[in-house]
Amino acid sequence: MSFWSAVRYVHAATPVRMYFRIAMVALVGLEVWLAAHGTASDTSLVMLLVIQMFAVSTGFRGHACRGYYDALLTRFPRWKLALAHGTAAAGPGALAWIGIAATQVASARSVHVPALSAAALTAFALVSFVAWSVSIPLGPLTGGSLWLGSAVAAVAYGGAMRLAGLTQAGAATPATRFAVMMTFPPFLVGSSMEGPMLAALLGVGLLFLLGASGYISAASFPLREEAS
Amino acid sequence: MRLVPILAAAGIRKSYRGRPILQGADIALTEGAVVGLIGRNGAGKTTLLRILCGMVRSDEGEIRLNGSTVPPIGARPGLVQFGGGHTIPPGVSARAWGLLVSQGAWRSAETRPVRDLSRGTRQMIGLRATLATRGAGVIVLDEPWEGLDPDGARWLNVELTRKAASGAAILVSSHRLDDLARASHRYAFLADGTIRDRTREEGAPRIGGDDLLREYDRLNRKP
Repeated sequence: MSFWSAVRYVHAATPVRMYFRIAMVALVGLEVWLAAHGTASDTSLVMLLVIQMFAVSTGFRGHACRGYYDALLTRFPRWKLALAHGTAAAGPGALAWIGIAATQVASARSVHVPALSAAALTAFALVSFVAWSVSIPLGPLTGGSLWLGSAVAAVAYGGAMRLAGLTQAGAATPATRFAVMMTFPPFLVGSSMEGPMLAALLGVGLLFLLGASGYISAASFPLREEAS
Repeated sequence: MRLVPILAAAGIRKSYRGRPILQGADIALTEGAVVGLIGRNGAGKTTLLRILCGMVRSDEGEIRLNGSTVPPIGARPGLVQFGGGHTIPPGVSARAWGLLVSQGAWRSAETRPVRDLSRGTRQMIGLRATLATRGAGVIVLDEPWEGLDPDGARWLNVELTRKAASGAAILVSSHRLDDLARASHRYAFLADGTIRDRTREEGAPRIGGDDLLREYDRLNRKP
């Protein structure tokens, strides 16, 4: 079975939910509309990041324990299965991001394209890696739910404007800024975050990715009635 | 018939939450033979099948595929498996599922989502797709006759005979003892966590479902 066959299999078995895909298409449409009216905004990117938190959280363990991935588990190396699953889960969001970036490139009046800035790309990677990874053992939507829950708690505790202010260089210690960015990555869009901070955030995302791939590679998937 | 073990497991032990399920089970699948796996509900049949297929890690024991030891977890090249119609995702279209599982070798005429199909049709979709997969040297089926009508059951028996004749090693778990007796060359009774193997001797009278039921009762009789 080829890698792309496995991606198609995962997409057919446990697709990204239809309403997320519709919302993503709508955001690309919004970006086109904004560009046609000469308006530049990060709104589409920020909203896409929030949707991606949930869309990419397709879950793995529950589906595997229902037998949905049996044909892949018996025929396909586990690490490749993790890669195929991640690709299928993140694919629609990535395509929407590319659509928004293409619109911004086509309508750009300067060399700066928000969707292609290092900070925005880091935000997209971080959201996709962490939310997908969390959902692998815990189940669909858990990545987005936990993340949004912690963001809401942080806002309730610290106030949105104060948290946004903390992301500016020199406004807080690097550790505080890192914590704020981890709690609510959409703050990264449009920010001028320095390279080492972006690398650290991406590093955390990669650690989650490795953890989830390791889980898929090593875990047992008994049918639910079997282990009960 | 050559008695070359293609897939063999030795000393398989598995417990769930401290409750022993398998306690040193041994089984060997040979080229061109259908092995019928028989045991009461909860005996560990599905667990054993999933351990053989690399989906569940055993606590102890060794699995050999084509003569080489394979990791307890992971892909089994040349092995195809079907765990029943309930393992097909309900939202997928029957046609897409058939094409994906058979890797393009079988295309179902049915295009509706699996959730809209009867239990028997779901079962047939899964069986046809699994058995159509090219290059399958080992076939593992869990309760394959479940939900099939007489035509479907007859088709499956013919298909298993054909696959075995072409050299595949086949393991079938089922409670349908008459169908199992018709399809199998050997019988593996799973009771008290271990396997008792019975072979139908060449030229011996054909074993029937009643014979299997007697053996099943004998092994599961409490002292």
